[in-house]
Amino acid sequence: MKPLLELDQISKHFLLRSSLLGRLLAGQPNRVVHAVNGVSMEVYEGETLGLVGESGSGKSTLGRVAIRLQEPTSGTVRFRGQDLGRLSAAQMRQLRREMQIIFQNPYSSLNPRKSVRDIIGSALMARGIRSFHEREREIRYLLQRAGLPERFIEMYPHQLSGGQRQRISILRALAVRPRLVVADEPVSALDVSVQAQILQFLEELKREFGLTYLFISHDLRVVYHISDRVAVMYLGKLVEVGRCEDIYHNPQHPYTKALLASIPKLENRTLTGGRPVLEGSPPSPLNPPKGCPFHTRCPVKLGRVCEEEPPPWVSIRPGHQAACHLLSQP
Amino acid sequence: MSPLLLIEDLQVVFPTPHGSVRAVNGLSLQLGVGERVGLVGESGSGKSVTLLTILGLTPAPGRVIRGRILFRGMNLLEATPRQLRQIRGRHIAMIFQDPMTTLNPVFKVGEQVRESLRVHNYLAKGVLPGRRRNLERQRVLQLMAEVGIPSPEERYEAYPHEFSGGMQQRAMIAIALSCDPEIILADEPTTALDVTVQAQIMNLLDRINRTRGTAILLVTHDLHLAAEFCDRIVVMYAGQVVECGSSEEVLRHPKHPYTQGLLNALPEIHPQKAPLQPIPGEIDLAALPPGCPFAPRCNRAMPVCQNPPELLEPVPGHQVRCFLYGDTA
Repeated sequence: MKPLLELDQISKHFLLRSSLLGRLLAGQPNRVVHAVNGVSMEVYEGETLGLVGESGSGKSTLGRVAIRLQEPTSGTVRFRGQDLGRLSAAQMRQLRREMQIIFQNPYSSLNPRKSVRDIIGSALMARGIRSFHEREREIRYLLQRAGLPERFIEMYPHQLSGGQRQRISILRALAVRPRLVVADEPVSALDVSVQAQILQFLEELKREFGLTYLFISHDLRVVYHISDRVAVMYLGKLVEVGRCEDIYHNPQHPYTKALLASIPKLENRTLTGGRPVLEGSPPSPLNPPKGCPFHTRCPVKLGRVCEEEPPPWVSIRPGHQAACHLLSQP
Repeated sequence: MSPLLLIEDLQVVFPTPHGSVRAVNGLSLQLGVGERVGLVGESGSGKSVTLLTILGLTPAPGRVIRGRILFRGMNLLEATPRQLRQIRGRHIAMIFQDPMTTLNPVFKVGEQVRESLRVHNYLAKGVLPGRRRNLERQRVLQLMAEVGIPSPEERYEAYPHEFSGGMQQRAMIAIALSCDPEIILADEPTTALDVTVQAQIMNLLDRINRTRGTAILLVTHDLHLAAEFCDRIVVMYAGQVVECGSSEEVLRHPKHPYTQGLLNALPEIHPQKAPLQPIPGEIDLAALPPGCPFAPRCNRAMPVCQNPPELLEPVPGHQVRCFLYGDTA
């Protein structure tokens, strides 16, 4: 199967400039945030790839680089085999229609001064629908598809609830008929009962329009539910990738294991003295550790090798890989 | 035995241009000595307002119009500001959701932990100021070590921005513990934190409860988190208690359609992936029906749901506010 999206050795670094005074008087150098560090992965046509990780792991940055909302510092992004970095602005604009993004916060991602008609309508314009009446018909169809009443076409974002707004931003993304949708924490700001509605809606749309999702979330339950494959990130690096079942029921990387053990559940009540937890917090991406990014917190660290050498990718079974020295031991 | 904290028929209203909204509508709740109770609900259910009202911190323009909050027999709703000040932080302490905004950025963390000791004059009344300060500092260092802040001597002098989110929350917990309160009110203490850090903080609260016997009232939107941590769970919807019982009972045998709906709407990590069953609609606090507030979204609503349901007890110790369990059903 051909991948729809290929990320090859993607790194994204952000420069933190010291203030002029700091540079001149204290000699502080500019610092570099290593948000994403050499990540390679593929997203296949028609699948949902869940990208999980804690805050600061670089998952959102990777999502943005994947659709070239941000340029990678190094590495290549290929969409349908085309290297996005080599496309002209006009070509890129053409291709943009095929890739869309849904953001976490439906309160800040919709323009408060535009009505639903304007919001979805401008996406339809971008798709090339020039006729007003055709646009109106399409907006009404989309609203009905989202289970929203037609009168919403006149409404402004502040008149809608969080769940309704998120439906509108999903419709806006879908109005251009994309093939790839990057969903960046699309349900994290919503209540549980509404969250399930939106997840169900996303699943229906995927079937109807044959979409491919790159689904970014820190919520392990949600990712389990929606994903076919899962990629786990830690401190800018991919640590494990595999089919959803493999990752959740047969995790190999110590970080993945720790993440899964941290999910609250009723069964943990009986554990006296609390469950085993990961100590400490992730190191700063300003100064990531050498070797394995996880070695500072790893409960099963081997020793020097983890501190100094980047761990190799080990294949556990076809399609299930983890980056850990422990797994490459004979 | 009378409970440590008893809330009876609490009603808090917020006047709005579209009429008054009852954020808390006849809530009753009790918390025993050393008990852990979880107050669970979605946004707008009134859980946070309830918690804030206990300490007389009802956010404006909210007003308490009915009810009693008894702490060791004293009605906190009738307490004078001076009396409340003596209780806050000394007998009932609070941990907030976002440690970044609750710690003061311009004071050293250690001094902020010491403040509570100082205000309540907790250590050695009548000791000379210089010596008192020293005693307090020692106690702060102990507290910081107890909540798992590494090298307390150094971290005493640090400012909040030098702490990670998890460490800030530990500092907040140290403040809450400083005067050895009987009750800790925790308002979504881990919502702003990553899951691995959440697990650390919950373990810390668990240890505090076991070793010090501090009662904890945990407000959260996460049913699983509440079930894991608490002895009892109180589920709120639209300002009312809709279900209440032991964690096992509520999670394994949920009775109220809302609790059942919440559990069905949450993805389970189970080899057989089940489709989600969302609860239809959204809550509209400004236009609640006269009867059961959940009826418009309930898939088992009946004509009788036009009337307000009472809290029933179909199983001893497990209460539910629903007509399905009454004689009329």
